[in-house]
Amino acid sequence: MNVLKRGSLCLICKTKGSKKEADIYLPAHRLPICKEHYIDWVVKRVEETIKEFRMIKKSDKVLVAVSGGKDSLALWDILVKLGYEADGFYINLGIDEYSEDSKELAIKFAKEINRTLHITFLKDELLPIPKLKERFNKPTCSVCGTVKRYYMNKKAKELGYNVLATGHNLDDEVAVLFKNVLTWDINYLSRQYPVLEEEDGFVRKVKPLCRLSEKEVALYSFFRGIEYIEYECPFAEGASTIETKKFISALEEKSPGIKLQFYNSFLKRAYPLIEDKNQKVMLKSCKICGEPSANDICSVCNMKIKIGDSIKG
Amino acid sequence: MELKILFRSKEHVIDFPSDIVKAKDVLKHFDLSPEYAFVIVDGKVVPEDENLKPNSKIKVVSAISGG
Repeated sequence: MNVLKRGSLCLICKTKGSKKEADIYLPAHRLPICKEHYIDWVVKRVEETIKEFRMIKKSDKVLVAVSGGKDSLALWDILVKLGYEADGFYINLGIDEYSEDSKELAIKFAKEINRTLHITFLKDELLPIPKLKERFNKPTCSVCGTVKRYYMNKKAKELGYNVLATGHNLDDEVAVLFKNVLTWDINYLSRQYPVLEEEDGFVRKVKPLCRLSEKEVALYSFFRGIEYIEYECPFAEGASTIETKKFISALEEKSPGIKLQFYNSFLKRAYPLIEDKNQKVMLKSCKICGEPSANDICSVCNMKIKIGDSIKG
Repeated sequence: MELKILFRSKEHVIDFPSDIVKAKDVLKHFDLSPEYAFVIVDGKVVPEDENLKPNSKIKVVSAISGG
């Protein structure tokens, strides 16, 4: 069976000697499950992932990169449930209605779980994404990624957090893994691990949702009543990642569990063979902001210089 | 059968040619797979073979996102 059959019983309730109808069916785990046990199942799965990869200690101060989407809000919810010291960090990218809506949802959620949400406005630091897109001839998602990674790391340190947690899920990881395997990009593959230790001016980065599929996270958010931004960022519409995900999803539909197997097998069998193959670039400190950079001046400060020049010119 | 469906924060009114419309037909209409999308009827996630009724509150959630 690949779908929920009417009248299927929750398997967890069954093992505990009670009878309750399942609310959903998880094909990759052959598991019909009720809402209550599903929430516990997700939290436990994340807890196991955190322990297995030694992602977070109870003494760590965690900053969750919050976008207002299902993944980051679910991650924040789960980390707080597990008793971690976790606050949120939201970057307002200045993408009109999308940024306003997602910011409101992030603020609302922070209030619900009674945790601090730090907010940075990209327009105050650099330029909003639509203006950066106009100014620099690079794919928007790539500029946005650079800027987000930069401020997440910088603000985490400034605010006194030593771990940065992102909501990357199994589908995100599998899509990137798949693309990197198509090109056998050993350098990228050797860095595709769910925890990147603190080094050279970077805080530790962790991806505790890496073993939960996108749908599993969306179902968790729905059952927990988490309100998140449901429409896509206008710049991500038609992004190639979505096409890759749909392609992999077609495989998963025919062979449930194949995504998880692909990812787990990579971590278990391939990663140990290549983890030391990372062509490490000697990182310097950016002469302007002090953040780690391959060059004397980091890419964000470079953007700032160019923006300044264009204003002057 | 005409159904009002909430998808990505927008309401869509869709006239299906048949009088029997299942949750999977709605996913198909939006070109979504049950592998990453699901249908909520009156606040409950429903199986893909669930028959939908015109007066129900129907919402489609697609979990896929890019960028």
